[in-house]
Amino acid sequence: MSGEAKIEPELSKGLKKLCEDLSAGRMKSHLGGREVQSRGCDEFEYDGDDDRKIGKWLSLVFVSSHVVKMSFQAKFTFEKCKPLVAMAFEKKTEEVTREQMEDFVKEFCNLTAGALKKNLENEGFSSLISLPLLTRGQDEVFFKNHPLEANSPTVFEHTWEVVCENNSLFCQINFEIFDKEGFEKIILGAFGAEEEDEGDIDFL
Amino acid sequence: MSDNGDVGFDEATLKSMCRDLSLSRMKTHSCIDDIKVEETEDFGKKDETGQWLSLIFVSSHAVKLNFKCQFYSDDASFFTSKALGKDIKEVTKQNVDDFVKEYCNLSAGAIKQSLEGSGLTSLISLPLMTRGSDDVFFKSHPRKDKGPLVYSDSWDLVHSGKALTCHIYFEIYDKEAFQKIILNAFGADQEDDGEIDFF
Repeated sequence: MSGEAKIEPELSKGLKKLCEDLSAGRMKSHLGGREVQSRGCDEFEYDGDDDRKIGKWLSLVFVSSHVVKMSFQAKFTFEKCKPLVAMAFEKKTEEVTREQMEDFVKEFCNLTAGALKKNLENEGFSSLISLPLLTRGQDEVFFKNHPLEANSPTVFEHTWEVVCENNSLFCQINFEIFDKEGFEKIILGAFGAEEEDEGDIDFL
Repeated sequence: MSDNGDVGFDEATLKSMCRDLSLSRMKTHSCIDDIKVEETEDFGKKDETGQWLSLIFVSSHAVKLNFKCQFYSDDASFFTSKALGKDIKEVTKQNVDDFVKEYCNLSAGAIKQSLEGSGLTSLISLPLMTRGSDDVFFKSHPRKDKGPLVYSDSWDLVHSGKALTCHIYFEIYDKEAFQKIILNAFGADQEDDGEIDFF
């Protein structure tokens, strides 16, 4: 599910596409060039009918600058992650270890958040990136804004999945935007396009 | 120290509760009796190389907090060796990580339990481990000027010249409920005339 985007609808659409494309591209490299697609999805699909939290894991990376704070998360179960790791390591699924799965998802988060950071830095602003963390899926609540938080910064959320040969990994991005104007400029820079006053877009 | 001026609760009480709980848990966990609490130097000014951070989150409708333990491997190895009854040279990085993560779990669990005295329910995360410089991602953004009421404190746990730095960071969303929670955390109920009954 995509969160309520308070940024311009066109930018919101472009930002979603940027996130999806970058994650799919990094997963493709991570899987040795195999075909990878991204598709929008509802967060509900990750939880499915199974509201138990057992066996669900979460890896995440933070990026922070004076304009925006971002977290990129990959959610998975070992069962569904195993075939992807087997492809990456060219092993049989039964040979894949838990440690390999953890390393695989953490590195995917690192690659994707690193690519987003790089794209967002086109406008010359600098940012910091964390090490990837791994924890249980239910702990995602600690990385979201508190529900009682009034006057919170503009929040942009998007959820999608990257899919390779019917094996998927759920991805979620969360932006807390502290300087909306600065952020919109950065996003335009990230698309390699600059919108002119009359509304035309010049692709550079 | 609160970042928002008048916080409406007794900061000294909260400070002493957090420091005392963290100290007692470290004494038990490390099997060292004479650990002292000292005011911390500015950890951020120390060399970032070799600095590590373990942290844990607690969240409820009234308050969100994180407890962090920031350390250098040499210092944490000393405490770990005492806990495991091993020579310091035999202590592995895995031993140190497990020791500090479990310490965070014990301290945050004790704080959670104290805060739950007034019937508040809360959630606690698994402890995480990352590099010391990633501390910046677990603080309020500097431009978040209209955020919740914030209270934070830092202190060192010291023995034989070895130190572990503890940080507590509260984001308070319901000031009234939080005041009640803090009073109950001490098993004390302040009456209208200002006297305190200890139960």
